Amino acid sequence: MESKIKNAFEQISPSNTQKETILKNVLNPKKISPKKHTREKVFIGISAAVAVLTLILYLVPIYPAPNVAFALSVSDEEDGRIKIMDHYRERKNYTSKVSNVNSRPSLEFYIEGKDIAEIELTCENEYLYVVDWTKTQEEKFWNPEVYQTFDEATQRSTFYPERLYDKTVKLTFSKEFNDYDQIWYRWTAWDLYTWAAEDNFSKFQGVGVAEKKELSQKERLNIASGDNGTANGHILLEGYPKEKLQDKILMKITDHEGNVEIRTIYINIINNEIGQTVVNAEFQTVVNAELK
Amino acid sequence: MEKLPLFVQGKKYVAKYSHEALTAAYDRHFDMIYRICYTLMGNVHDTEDAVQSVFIKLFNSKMCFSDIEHEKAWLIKVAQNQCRDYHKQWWRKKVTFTESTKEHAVHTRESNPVLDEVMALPKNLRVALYLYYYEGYKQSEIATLLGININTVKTRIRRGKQCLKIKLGENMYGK
Repeated sequence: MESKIKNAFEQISPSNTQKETILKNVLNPKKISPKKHTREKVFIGISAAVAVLTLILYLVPIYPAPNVAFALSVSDEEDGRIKIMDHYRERKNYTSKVSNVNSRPSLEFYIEGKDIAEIELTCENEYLYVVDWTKTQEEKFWNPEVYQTFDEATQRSTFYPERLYDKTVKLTFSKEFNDYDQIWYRWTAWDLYTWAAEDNFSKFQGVGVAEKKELSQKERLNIASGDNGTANGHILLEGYPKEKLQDKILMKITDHEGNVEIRTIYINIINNEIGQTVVNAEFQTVVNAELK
Repeated sequence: MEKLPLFVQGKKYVAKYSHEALTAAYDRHFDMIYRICYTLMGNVHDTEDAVQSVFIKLFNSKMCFSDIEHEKAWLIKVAQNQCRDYHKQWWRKKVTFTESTKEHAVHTRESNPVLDEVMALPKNLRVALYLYYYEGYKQSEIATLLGININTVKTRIRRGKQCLKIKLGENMYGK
């Protein structure tokens, strides 16, 4: 048996060409364009995703009038102009709602646009942060060293959420900036996770074991970490304040002429019938007057 | 024990790897790191990315290794973390192994039913099997390398073998 397993691993052997190519890249890292790499990541993320939840706002100018810096594009679907890109569905079936199984409840999206001067996002209950591949925004959005330390010897990192998470994030853009889609916005249910992790991950459960309430501590920890290789730990929401299971992300988008558009994402977290944590999200348009 | 010819002997601190030192380390460990990354990533494209990142980290590190085994152990840990981080990236958290990536992986090596089943195991079982059967580490050494209890290592190896036995039948045991 040992020899067969060993022979199997022996088959995972790189070619000399691979070896030479990778070495060249390692010795000359500047030859790898970070821009290209970032674009590749974005491309892979979008095209290869089967279950990814990505919210896309199509913000392109449709009116040639110079005093309108940007306007929403009108999509050909009937039920709204903003669609949630959902790789479970064909494009024609995209809707403005999405439901996503997520053991660490979060939501990710980016905004495509033109001539945007400022994007301000605010949420009520949980937290927001930004992943900025363009490195044009606040340093904490692109430099992990700002919010986490890493011990090279032990290979352990320590995360400081208070250095990263905010209730409000505001980004400003120059007139020359175009790479809006290379900035990703993330909503994360950190308070919920913190609550669930209390008392040695007491609120975690495995997929399909919702009915089994009496877990041993060892089982619970295994489930929470997904260490048994079979299931990720999902959060049992029972006992968490219902009002905190809902959140609202308000998006205020301002162009260089001072025009403002408002969009809202409503979020609701639930447990489904097999005990998974599910994030439901829905886009809604807010009339500007509501803000006054 | 083999000495590190390109390290500054007698010094406890190596400021940074020279190109020569890195190339030597690369030659020593490339195949192993490639196999570990492939074992964790499951396809050639991501494996190459991960391997490259591991050696760039070595190039930029200021670690002082007491011997080649120490260097090897450090690289294994970094490779594991690199692959884990890669899987944490947002699209991977939610992306299943698509047919296209499976196809790519299969086309880059000869079909081997044992390897196919090994690659179908959970990642933590694969790594334990690799380190134990291919690299020849003792269970206690694997426990130290992976930062887990030795009993967990034993469980992973046993479970990995059991899974393979069930999936491949008795033939792989030479019966």
